[in-house]
Amino acid sequence: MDSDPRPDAVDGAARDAQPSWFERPGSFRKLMVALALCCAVLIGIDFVYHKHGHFDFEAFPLFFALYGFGAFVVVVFVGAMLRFVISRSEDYYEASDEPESAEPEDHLRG
Amino acid sequence: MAELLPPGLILILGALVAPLLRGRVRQAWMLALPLVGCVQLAMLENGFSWSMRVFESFELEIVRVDALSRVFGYVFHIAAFLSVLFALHVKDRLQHFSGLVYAGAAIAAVFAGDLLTLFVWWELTAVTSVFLIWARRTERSYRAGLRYLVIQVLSGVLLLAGTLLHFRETGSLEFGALGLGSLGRDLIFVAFGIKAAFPLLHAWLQDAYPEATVTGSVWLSAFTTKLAIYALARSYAGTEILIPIGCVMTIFPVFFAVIENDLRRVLSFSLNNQLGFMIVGIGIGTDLALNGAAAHAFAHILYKSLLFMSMGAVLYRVGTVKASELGGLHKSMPWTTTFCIIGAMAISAFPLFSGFTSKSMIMTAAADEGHWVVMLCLLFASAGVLEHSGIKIPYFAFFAHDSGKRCKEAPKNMLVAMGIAAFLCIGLGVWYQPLYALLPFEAAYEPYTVAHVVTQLQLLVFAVAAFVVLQKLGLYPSEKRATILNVDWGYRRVLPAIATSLGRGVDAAHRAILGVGLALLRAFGTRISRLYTPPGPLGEPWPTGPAALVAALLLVLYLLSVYL
Repeated sequence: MDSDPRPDAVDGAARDAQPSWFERPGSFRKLMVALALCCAVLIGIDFVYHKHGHFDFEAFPLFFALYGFGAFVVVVFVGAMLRFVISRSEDYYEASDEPESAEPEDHLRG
Repeated sequence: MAELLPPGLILILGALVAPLLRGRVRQAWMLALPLVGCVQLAMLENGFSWSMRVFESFELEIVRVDALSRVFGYVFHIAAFLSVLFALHVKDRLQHFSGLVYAGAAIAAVFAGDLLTLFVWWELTAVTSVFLIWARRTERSYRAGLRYLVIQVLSGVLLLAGTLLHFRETGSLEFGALGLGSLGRDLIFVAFGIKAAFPLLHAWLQDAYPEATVTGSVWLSAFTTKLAIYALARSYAGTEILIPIGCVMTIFPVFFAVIENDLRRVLSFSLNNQLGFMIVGIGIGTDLALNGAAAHAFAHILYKSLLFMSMGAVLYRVGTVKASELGGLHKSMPWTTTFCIIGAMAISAFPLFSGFTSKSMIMTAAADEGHWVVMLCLLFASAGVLEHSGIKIPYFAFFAHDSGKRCKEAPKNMLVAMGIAAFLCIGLGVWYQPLYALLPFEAAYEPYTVAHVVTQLQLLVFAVAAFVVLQKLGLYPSEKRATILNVDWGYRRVLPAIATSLGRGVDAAHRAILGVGLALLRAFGTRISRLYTPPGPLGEPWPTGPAALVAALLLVLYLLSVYL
């Protein structure tokens, strides 16, 4: 599931052969540390800056952070549930006009 | 000089000439048209009006320039320029022609001062834009285009009917503040609502836009729906029903976008959700809210074009924009990846990007009016935007698991178009004052307060954290090839099924009646023939006696009938 190497993929420039920064082992960790730092700073600021919101709920500690996290989770879960109800096979209405393997050269090669 | 032609007509007339030109001359000509149009608009002053009297009773205001129409006029010209540039490599003259006329008609519609003029341009946008879908020249796009056209024309017909009823009632054709309350004005509202993709009237958008050509969907994403937003802001500002309509519009598309596999369709759901923010602003109707709606339309056209361009570039190079087939393209298309991420951050409204300086205006306006439910809806929808446009689009196309697909970077003209759009997305986030100065109403607003920045960052960064957590736990739904049912299921499956079964019913009834009738006739015929064939009573010659008796009886009957 991780990768789907195609023997007939068009080989691009030499840079494609080398892993990019995003593919190097340590990079993901660095990104996660950065994200964690951002979160920490935003939690810290929440107790420092002067709140003058329009509504009472805005004064609740970390309201926006919790709401953002919660809303994202709800969106994803409701979406995933929806899949059971409204997802159909790809050619439900009509056959797809894209070849199964979408590499443009593939269907030309036959 | 600038007063000679209505705005937009430069593009339409120029489009008529373009097919006659060749090569670089044609490219230069097409790029110049929106620029010249923009200069023309700059030369026209607010308050400029051009009226015409027809049939004694109709006063048509072909051109009316004011602050509201000017904002939309400018951004439509910019969008037209970017679309031409993005499509510059395309050789298909049909697409260039229909794109330019479509943009010109949308601009002309914005400057229409009366409802009849609006109707004419409104319909022209419909019939020209459909060619951007048909230009893909597949069976599938042909059908999608037909469905799109039927619905767009329906909107026009409703607009015309509403206009005529309104005229009979009030004697006025002015395209100004209308509000609900009479059949005519309600019909116009629905006509605008169809093009603005109100909930349940929205499915044409997700149905048609992803079926357009690589460059066609960039044109489409800019004009039709924003023309409807402009029309609603002009005629139905402060109409309260728009607030719940807008809230629903911001929320329902985000769930569909989570599981949609076609990334241009994800963008179409996202477009629907962004329109919702503008509709809420129009419904609130205060000066700040209307400014917010206009500013958001302006910013939105740019980042939405940028996102459609980046996915167009992927479709052009790879041949698909299905999330399940993509991944790892950042190595092959580093520039496209960068521009896409800028568009994604702009639509997610990160501070220093254009979405932040425009969307926060609508949310502040909602809060000022004490709409706390609306506020919660918009915040929820903002997290949803981050999910599908901020993360899903760039992540599944350019990162995620490496699909092994390798391709060339997008063509230069595409990169330049994306680069300009990306520059504007950041530009309007940092140096927003020129846009604010252009807005139609006087309403002081400062986007970069500590509270705005901190709350927005908290919302977004923790939503990103939620994505990481869900991915790590394996709870984030994987991309699957699928068709996600939408409201168009009603007219693509249910209505045809009802019509088919009705037809079958009529057919069966017809057959039954015919069958019974024929059987009766046949039975009758058989009886008669049995009567007259040899073993039957009349089938053989009678003996003389009974025959004479019957003849005599008949004569008696005849005599009686004469005397009675």
